[in-house]
Amino acid sequence: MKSIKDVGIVSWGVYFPKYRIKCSDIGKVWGFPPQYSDGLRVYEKTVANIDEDTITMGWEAARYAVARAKIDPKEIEAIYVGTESKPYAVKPSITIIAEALGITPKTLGADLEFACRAASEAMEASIGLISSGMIKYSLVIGSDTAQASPGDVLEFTASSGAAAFILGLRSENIVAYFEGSYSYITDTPDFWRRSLAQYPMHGEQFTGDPAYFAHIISAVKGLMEELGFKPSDFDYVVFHQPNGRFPLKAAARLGFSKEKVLPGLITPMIGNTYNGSALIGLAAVLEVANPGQRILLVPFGSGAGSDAYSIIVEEGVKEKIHLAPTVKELLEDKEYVDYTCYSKYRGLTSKFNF
Amino acid sequence: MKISVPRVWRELKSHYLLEASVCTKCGKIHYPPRTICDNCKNHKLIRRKLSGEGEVLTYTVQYVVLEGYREHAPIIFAIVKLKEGVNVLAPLTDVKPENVRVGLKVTAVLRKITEDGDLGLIKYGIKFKPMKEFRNEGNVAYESEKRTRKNS
Repeated sequence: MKSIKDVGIVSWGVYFPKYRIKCSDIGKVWGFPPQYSDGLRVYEKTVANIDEDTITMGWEAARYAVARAKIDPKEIEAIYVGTESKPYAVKPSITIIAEALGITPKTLGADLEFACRAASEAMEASIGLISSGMIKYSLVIGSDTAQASPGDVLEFTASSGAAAFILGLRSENIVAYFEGSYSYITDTPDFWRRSLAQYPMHGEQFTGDPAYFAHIISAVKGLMEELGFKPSDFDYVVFHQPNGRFPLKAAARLGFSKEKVLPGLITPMIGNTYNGSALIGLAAVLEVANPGQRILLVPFGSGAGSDAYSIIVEEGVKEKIHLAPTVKELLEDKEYVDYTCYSKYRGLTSKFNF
Repeated sequence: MKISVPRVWRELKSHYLLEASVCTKCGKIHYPPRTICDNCKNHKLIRRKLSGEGEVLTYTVQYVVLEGYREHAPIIFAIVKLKEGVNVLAPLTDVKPENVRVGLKVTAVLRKITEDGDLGLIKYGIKFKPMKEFRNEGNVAYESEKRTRKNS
């Protein structure tokens, strides 16, 4: 898909909690073999504080995006959050975030749902709205406090974090622009959470080939065919990162070298932040990429669907990097918690209130 | 229902945005906002969003907490002196009691304050967390990964 007018990224913001738990500590509690999580290539994950959720983390990432944007926040005319961990089943998270950013009331806004790909849907919708001239700027947030049943293999990776991007028409103030995108969705039951269920279920090995790999590879091949690109045309590749292994495997199958994936592969240090996953990877790449370089961004959501975007980095990127905390700075700012503290913070254990 | 819905709604701007009222006559800043200036009795006050940056003036640590706050304990309540000179009473977050000190530089963040059980309203508001001065240059995720793996 190509927009009528070029749409770009005005700014980005990333937030993930400072608390971390080592995956080896999770493995010890539940009797997994030592170094089990090393096979997933995830070593530690973020833990949201007791007072954090999708809304507070999304707000903080958005605040950093606004700090980098150099625009009047009142000009943001659409704001979306993609999440699968809404604090309210019915009552939008986005109204709280928008209110706390001071960009209400003349704003389009919605919570979007498509597992880990919901924020990417918001990105596609925003590109269309901006390109058509209906709105000037859109704020897209991907935020999740990912749930995992205690003792499930998912617990090694499910973590918390958020990323936010402000999009606008291509101008001197943007840091990158979209060359085109390709979406690919099918009904694939690889991962789900039923209404009122506390934790998700997953189809074990079914999550790999028929879901993650099939959709990502199809979206990337579709994009390259539509735009006439080959793997060597891309300088960086950012896939959705459910663990540290899948993105490298997808890259190998598509003919991308490991070196193009590693700068945006953040999951090994923070776990899978679901809707933040690929977008935090994109932010990390924007913080090291040079103007003119081409980035392949491929979010994926279970259920299942994937979008591939071709993004060109623009001149304005360097001056905006240090206007807010970088991904690297957030990675270094950490404090470890043990499993007991983690289980309280994540609501696995709580006081019974009479 | 323990949380008053009208009250949460009425206080949104001051609790989400740290919005104060400023006297148009004497310039005194009021937080929480007031409708009449307690300094010059002026009735004309305008709303202004505060910076959210300041330092801890004094603090106390609460171990015995109200029902519904046990998971949040210990709660550190601080009086934070903002850059604008106004004092704000609010909880601190992302810091242990032993690491708090008078003069600690802090910044305002939106956090959950409390929840009305499993079914009621979630109350959000401003807390303060220690301000970080990030100075790292460059960003190569792989370097971080190597260190993390070594440490795991």
